[in-house]
Amino acid sequence: MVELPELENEILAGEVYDEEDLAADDNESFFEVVDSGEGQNERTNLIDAVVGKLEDILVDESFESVRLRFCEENCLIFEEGEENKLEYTEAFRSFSDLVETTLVENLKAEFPDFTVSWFCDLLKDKPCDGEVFDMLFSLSDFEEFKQMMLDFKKREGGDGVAVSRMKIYSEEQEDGDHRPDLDLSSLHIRPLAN
Amino acid sequence: MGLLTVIKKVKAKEKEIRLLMVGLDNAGKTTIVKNLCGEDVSKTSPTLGFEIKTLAHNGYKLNIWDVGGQTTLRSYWRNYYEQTEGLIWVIDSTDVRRLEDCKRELHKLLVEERLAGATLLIFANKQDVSGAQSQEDLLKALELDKMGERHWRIVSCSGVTGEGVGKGLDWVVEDIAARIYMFNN
Repeated sequence: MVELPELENEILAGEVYDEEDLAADDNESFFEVVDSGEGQNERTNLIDAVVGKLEDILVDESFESVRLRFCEENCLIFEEGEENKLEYTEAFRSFSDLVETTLVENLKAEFPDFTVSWFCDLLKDKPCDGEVFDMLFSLSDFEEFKQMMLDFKKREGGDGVAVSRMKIYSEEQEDGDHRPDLDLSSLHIRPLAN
Repeated sequence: MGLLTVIKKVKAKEKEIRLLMVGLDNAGKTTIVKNLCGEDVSKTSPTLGFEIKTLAHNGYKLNIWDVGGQTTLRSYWRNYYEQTEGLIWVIDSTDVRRLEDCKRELHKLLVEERLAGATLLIFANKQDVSGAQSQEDLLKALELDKMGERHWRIVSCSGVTGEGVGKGLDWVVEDIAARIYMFNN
């Protein structure tokens, strides 16, 4: 998720610089930092909403099942080794298209203005940190894709239960105690009534 | 450009440059890549698919895509043009018999729209082998007089001894970096 406090600090600093350019150089201690708000807050809220939506899409069951089905259908061509078969490229392209389409369609449904350049403008100068962006980054990388397919194939070889979590590239744990990841493969949640 | 491509670009921590190595089979593409990566060059088998090597070079992260050059594989090259910033065309300088082939395939690449902005480095490889054509003779045979705006250069090298390989890479990386990274240094 986008870290709110950090973002707001940045926005404040930016505003002060624009309006009090000279004063800022001379008497830095004299003025108070006031958030005049307006446009900036709106943008921050919108960014939060978009990032939130991206997260929702990625953790959504339907996306996960699409991903798993793709792995099932395509993993057999993948083999360990440094040299890649030409077919991998085709598979990677299909997978990228699948992810791209899912993301764009869902974002459009929520934000009618959405286009890729709208998204770029919105996030301009903003750090794309956090789990959502790490996950998206993993999804866009060929080597990660290859590894995902190989892992899937390896696991599927066993007892026919085909479950693999998406590999997420992430930063070092920064605060709090480290906890092992939830083993979602053994976790079943069913609605009470179905 | 798609959403994922944009995110990949923004998130990439280092400055990345994507290079595509192509050329006829047995030109020595894989050997040159191995040499650049400091790997053993004494035995190389024909590449039937492709390999990606990542190399840190002068502060840039180079992703080198080495794709097989056999006749049946050449139609697949097009799948690797996207986002290619530098094209490295490798020639077996001793293979006079197939120079015509070599010229035809290279000219096909040069009219590709997706490669229009790519810097072109031509490696006149196997200069350590006797009978190797000089880069001047190769240039004449390749008829590269109509290059227009493209940044390009030919460098003599030997993938086996390593001679010239670093020089060529330096040039192509510098040229691309000046083009795409000059504003955000």
